[in-house]
Amino acid sequence: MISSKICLVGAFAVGKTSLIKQFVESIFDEKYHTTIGVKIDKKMVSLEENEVQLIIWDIEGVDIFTDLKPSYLRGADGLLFVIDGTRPQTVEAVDAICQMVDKHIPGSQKLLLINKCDLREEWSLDKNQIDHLDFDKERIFETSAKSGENVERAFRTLAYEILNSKHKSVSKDSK
Amino acid sequence: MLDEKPLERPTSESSESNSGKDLAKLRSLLIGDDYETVLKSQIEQTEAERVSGVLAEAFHLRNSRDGSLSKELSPVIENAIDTSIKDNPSRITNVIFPIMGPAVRKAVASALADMMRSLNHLLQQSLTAQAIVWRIKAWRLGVPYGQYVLLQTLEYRVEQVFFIHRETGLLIESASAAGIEYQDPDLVSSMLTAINDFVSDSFNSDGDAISTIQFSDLSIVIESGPHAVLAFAVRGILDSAITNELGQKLEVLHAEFSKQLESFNGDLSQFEGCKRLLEGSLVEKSKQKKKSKPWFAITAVSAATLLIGYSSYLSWHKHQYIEYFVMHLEKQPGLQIIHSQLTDDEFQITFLRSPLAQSVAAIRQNFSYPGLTLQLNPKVALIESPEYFLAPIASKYGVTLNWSSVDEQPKLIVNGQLTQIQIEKLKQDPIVTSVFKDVDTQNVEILTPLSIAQQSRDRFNALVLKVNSTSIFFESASVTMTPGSAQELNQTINDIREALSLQQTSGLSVLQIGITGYADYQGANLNNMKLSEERAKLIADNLAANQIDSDLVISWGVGNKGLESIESANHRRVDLKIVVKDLSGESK
Ligand SMILES: Nc1nc2c(ncn2[C@@H]2O[C@H](COP(=O)(O)OP(=O)(O)OP(=O)(O)O)[C@@H](O)[C@H]2O)c(=O)[nH]1
Ligand SMILES: [Mg+2]
Repeated sequence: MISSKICLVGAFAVGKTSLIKQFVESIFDEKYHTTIGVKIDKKMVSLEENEVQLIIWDIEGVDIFTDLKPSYLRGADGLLFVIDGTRPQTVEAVDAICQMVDKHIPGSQKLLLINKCDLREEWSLDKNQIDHLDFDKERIFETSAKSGENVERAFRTLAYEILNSKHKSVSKDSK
Repeated sequence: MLDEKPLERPTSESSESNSGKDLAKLRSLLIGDDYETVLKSQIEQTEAERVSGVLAEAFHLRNSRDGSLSKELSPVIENAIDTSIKDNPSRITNVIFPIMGPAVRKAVASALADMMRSLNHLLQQSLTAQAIVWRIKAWRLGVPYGQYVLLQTLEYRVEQVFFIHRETGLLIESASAAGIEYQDPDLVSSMLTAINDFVSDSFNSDGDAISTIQFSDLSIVIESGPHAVLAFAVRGILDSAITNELGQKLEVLHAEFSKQLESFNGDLSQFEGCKRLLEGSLVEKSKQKKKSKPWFAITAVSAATLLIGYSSYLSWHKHQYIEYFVMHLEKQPGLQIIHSQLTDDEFQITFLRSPLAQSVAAIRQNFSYPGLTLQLNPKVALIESPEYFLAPIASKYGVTLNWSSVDEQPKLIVNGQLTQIQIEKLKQDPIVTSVFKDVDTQNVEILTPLSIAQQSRDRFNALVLKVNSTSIFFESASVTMTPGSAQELNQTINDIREALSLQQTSGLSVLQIGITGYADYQGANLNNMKLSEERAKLIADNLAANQIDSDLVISWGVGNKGLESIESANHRRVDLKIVVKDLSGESK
C-alpha cells in the first residue's frame, strides 16, 4: 500500500474544509467554522489494482493575518489549490501561494479547483486571471462541495497523478 | 490696543510740556501697574516664545476649518517616526509590544489549543474503546471496576508506539498494547507532526520542538532522528527508562531501515519486520504489590525484593516462589521468621524454631529453585524463653504483648484493639499455641467489624457531599474551563473515583452521576442551550476518560434555567450531583 500526503491550500472560506468533508464523509454544512492550524483526515482510494491512502491536510486559509506556513507543506506529494468562483480576489491568493510552493516542494502534483460551482450564476472570474495561473486545462476542476459535483473526480485525479509520478521515478531509479 | 485710543484725545488738548506727564499719570490711573508688566514682556519675549503661546489654539482653529493641516503634517510625522525607529528601535518596540504581544500570543495559543483539541479528541475516542475492553474483562472476572483496578496497579505502560516518516508525517508503522484500540494511528501521527511543525514555526526553534505532550495521565513522548520520528503514548508516570528505550529504539530503526527511509515514497511494504521491533517497546512497569497482611516475614522479603527490583519477569517469578515458600513456612507450628534476604543466587532466612517444630532438613527439602541456594539460620528457641516470640506475634497482629508464668505454664497477655475474629485467629495461631498454654485477652478492646464499614460510610458520604457542592466554571461563550476549575475538576475526578472504590466496604453505591451544564444570559437562547450541553458533555467526557464508568454518567444542558438566584459571574458553570443508593434500603 502507498501512503501519500496531500494538502489543500487557498484563501479563507473558499471551501477547503467543505471539500474534504464532502469527499471523506459525503456531508455538506452551510455553517462556516474557520480552520485554525491544520486538521487531518484520510481516505483510501482504489485505482485499478493499486490502493493509495491519502492523508489529507486541511490547512488554514490565508488572509491578511495568516500566511501559509511552508512547513505544513513539507513532504506533500500533491496539492489542491482552491479558489472561490464568486470571489475574484481568491485567485490572487492562489497566485501568491503558487510561487511559494514552487520554491518549497517543486516536485509535487498540482490541481486547481474552482469551487462553489453550484453558484455559477454568481461567478465573477476573469478568464485572464485563471490563465495567468498557468494550469493545464485537464488540471482545472469546477467543483461544488455542496452538490458534490466533481469533488471525488478531483481527488481521484490527484491520487492517480501521484501514483503515476511515483511509478515513473521508481522505473527511472531501476534503470 | 483699544485702550490706547481714548488716551490720544486728552493728549491733543494739553500743552506739550504737560502732556507727557499727564499721559503717564492717566495711563497709570487707567491701567495701573499692568502696563509696565505688559510692556516689559513684549520687549523681552522673543518671536518664537510668542508663537509657542498660541500654537495649540492656532492648530485647533485651522483644523476645524479644513483638513489641510493633517495633509501638511503627515510626511513630517512619517519622517519623524522613521528617524525615531532608526535612532532607537527598542523604544518604539516597547511602545508597540503591549498591544502586539498579547495579540500574537493569543493567536498562537488559540491555534495550538485547537490542534491539541483535535489530537485529544482522537485519543479520547480510543480511550472509550479501551474502556469497553477493560469492562468486558472486568465483567468476566466479576470485578466491578476492573479497569480502575488495573490502572491502579500500573506505574506506567507504553500503550502505543508510532514510527513516523519525518518529512511527510506519514505513519510507517505502529503497534499497540493488547486490549488497546486507538481510533486512528495514521491521523494521530500526522497531527503530531503538524503540531510539531506549528510549534517550531511559531517559536522559531529548529526542528525537534516538542518532546512531550501531556493529557491528564497520558503522555506522548517524541524523539526525532534524521529521517524518522518515534513517539510513545505512555499512561502513568514518565520514567527515564522510557526515554532511554525511545532513543535506542529510534537508533535501531534508523540503522535497520536507513535505505528505505532515505528514499521513502509512501510505499509501506518496504518496512517488513518493523512492527515486531516496535512491539518490543510496549513495556509496562507494575507498582510494588501491596500486601494486606502485615506479616513480618513477608515485609522483610518484600524489602529485600525491593533492593533487587522488579525489572524482569524472571525475578518476578523468583519472588513469587520465595513469597509462597515463606508463607508456607509461616504456617508451620513453632516456626517464626525473623529475617530473610534474597540475593542473586542465594536466599537467606533466619528463624526461630521450637524443638517440636518441623526439622531443618524437612524445610530444606521443600525448597528447590534453579540457580538459587537456600541458606537456613535456625535459632533454637526454647519453650522456656517465650519472650523470643513476642515481637513477631505483636507485629503480626498490631498489639502489645506480655507474658507471665502461671503454674509454670507460659501465658500470653494481649493488650490493644482487635476484632472478635482477630482474637480467635490469634488464639489459634500455630506459634501461639505451640509456645503458650493460655491466652489472656481480657484487656483487649474489642472492635466491632461494623466500625470499618462505618468509617468508609462516613468517608463515602463526605466525598459525595464534596462533589455535589462543586461547580466547574467556564470562560465566557466557550467550552473552555477557567484555569482554576480545570484544576478543581481533577480533584473532583479523584473524589469520585475514591467514592466508587468505597462502594463495597461502605454498603453505599453510586447510582448515577448527574452533570448539569448552564450558560449565562448573554447571546441567543438556542446557542446558550447548545453551549450548556457542550459544557456538560465536556465534563462527562472527562469523567469517561478517567475510567469512571460512563454508564453511571448522565449529562444534560439547561441553558440558563434556574440561575436566577446565582450571581451572574458564576452563571457559566457545570454542577455535578451524585445520586447514592443505600444497599441496605432506600436511595437518597
Ligand atoms: N454554495 C456553496 N457553498 C460552499 C461551497 N463550499 C463551501 N461553501 C461554504 O463556504 C463557507 C466556507 O467553507 P469552508 O469549507 O469552511 O472554507 P475553508 O476554505 O475551509 O475556510 P478556512 O478554513 O477559513 O480557510 C461555508 O459556509 C461553506 O458552507 C460550495 O461548493 N457551494
Ligand atoms: Mg477550513
